[in-house]
Amino acid sequence: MKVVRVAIFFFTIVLSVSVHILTISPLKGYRENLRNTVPLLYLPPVGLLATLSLDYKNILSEIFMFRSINYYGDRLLENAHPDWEWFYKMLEASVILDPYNIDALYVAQAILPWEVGMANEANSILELGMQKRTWDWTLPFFIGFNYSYFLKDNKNAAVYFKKSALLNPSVATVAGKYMQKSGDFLAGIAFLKSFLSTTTNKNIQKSIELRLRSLENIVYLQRGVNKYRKKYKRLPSSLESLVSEKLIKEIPKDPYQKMYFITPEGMVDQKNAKKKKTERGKG
Amino acid sequence: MSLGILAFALFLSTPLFSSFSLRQVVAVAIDYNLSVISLLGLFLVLFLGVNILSKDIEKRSVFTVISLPLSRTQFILSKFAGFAFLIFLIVLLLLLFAVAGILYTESIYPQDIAIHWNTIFLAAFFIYLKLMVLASVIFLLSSLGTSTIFPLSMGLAYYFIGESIEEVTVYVNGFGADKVSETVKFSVKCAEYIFLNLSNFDFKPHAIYGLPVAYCQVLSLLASALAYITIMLTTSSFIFEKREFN
Repeated sequence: MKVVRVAIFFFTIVLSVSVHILTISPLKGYRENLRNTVPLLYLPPVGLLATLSLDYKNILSEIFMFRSINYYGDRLLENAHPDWEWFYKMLEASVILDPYNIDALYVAQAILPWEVGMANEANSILELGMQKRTWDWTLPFFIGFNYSYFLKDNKNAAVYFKKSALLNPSVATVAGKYMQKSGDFLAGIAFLKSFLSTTTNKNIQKSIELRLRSLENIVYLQRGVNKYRKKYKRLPSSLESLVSEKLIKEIPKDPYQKMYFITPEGMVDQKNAKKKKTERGKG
Repeated sequence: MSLGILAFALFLSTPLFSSFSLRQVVAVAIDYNLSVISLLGLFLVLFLGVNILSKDIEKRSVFTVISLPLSRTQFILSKFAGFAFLIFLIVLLLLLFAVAGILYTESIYPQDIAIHWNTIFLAAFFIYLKLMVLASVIFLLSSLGTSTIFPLSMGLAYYFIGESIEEVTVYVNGFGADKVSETVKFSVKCAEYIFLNLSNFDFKPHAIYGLPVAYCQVLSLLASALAYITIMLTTSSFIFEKREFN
């Protein structure tokens, strides 16, 4: 009788463990598919969130920040577009829950204006941080930069650069340089390089490096176009003619798989070369 | 009685909380109700679950039971069946009030988006199944210890690990791959087999956004959960059989 019971016990355990192990892999597959279609954290309205998070605002802020970076990293690896609205909302919620959370503020600045041109959204997040981090000169500086570089609004840029310079006088000269060169790719490169040196997160570093490489390529090609214009007193018909005239070695490959071209005004710009895998978030 | 009050409070608070949303009031109502069912269920399983076996052992009332003509395995299984039925009734009660709350919210804030009732019921069922997995873990922990603190604290730890293991795995195998050591990766791999990924039971995004649910996924999850509960209960019966009470 005892032998039968022990046998039943072992049979049950072996069968259950086998089923358990066998189901792990397919279930993982389903979750991965789901992660690829919709960001796996439904976000209630932020007003509600702040109330519901009770004493856990800081930890929740960190969790949101961690989730958004993880999601962004996933999308980057898949070469698919993230649901930017969701990404922005996550970062905003993270900053609302903890306005001192510098990670979330830096991520907002490093990604939103550069990747999707959401400069206004990045500024609104940075403003939230600015209200609490009153000693931090970088936040008004970032806002000023976004106004100057992305939004071409030098009037507002000046207001924020001034606020930043009051907290850190050395900003004044740098700010002046950015404002003078508003919209200049060199200013963008200088900004990204200074940003890169203060960033430790691998995801963000990778994103900034890609953006830097893209801007450096444009500057390289623009120099070639300028040389051609100086030599022949007209614009080159295409970028290829710069290579044939040996003004540049080759046309660099864009890290975002976009195509470089010359505008009628003689400026080098980019456009989509092929349709990328895109994804739309819901809700 | 207190549960009835809680369920009624859930019904009344649904439109209030949902109104915070500007664009997706009903979606918030669904999310709020399912989250509350999950949270209340978690508290009930943790605090009631530890009392089922541990209290008997702690207060030594288990002596009277083991002297009855009933095997210890039967004792454990009937205790679990009773507890599972009790939690089922509670989840059902909360679900009924949740449905009423969602319907009431929809009547106040009419939306163009259809409510996917099938998926909502499925999501509630899997919340229940998740609670049962947790209950079976608590039964195993109770059969090991002599006080209620041990299963309570370890059960809570299990819940946190189970809920976060997916994010950790994604990080360790994705962007964090070059940051973490091989030992950490191996530990996470082992943890994947020992702890059930409780995020698997989360069908809230499906219920809120009306995402399609694959039958294979439901069946795999069902099989996985039942197998895991069986492992936990068989092991706890085995330990309980071998255990000497004095």
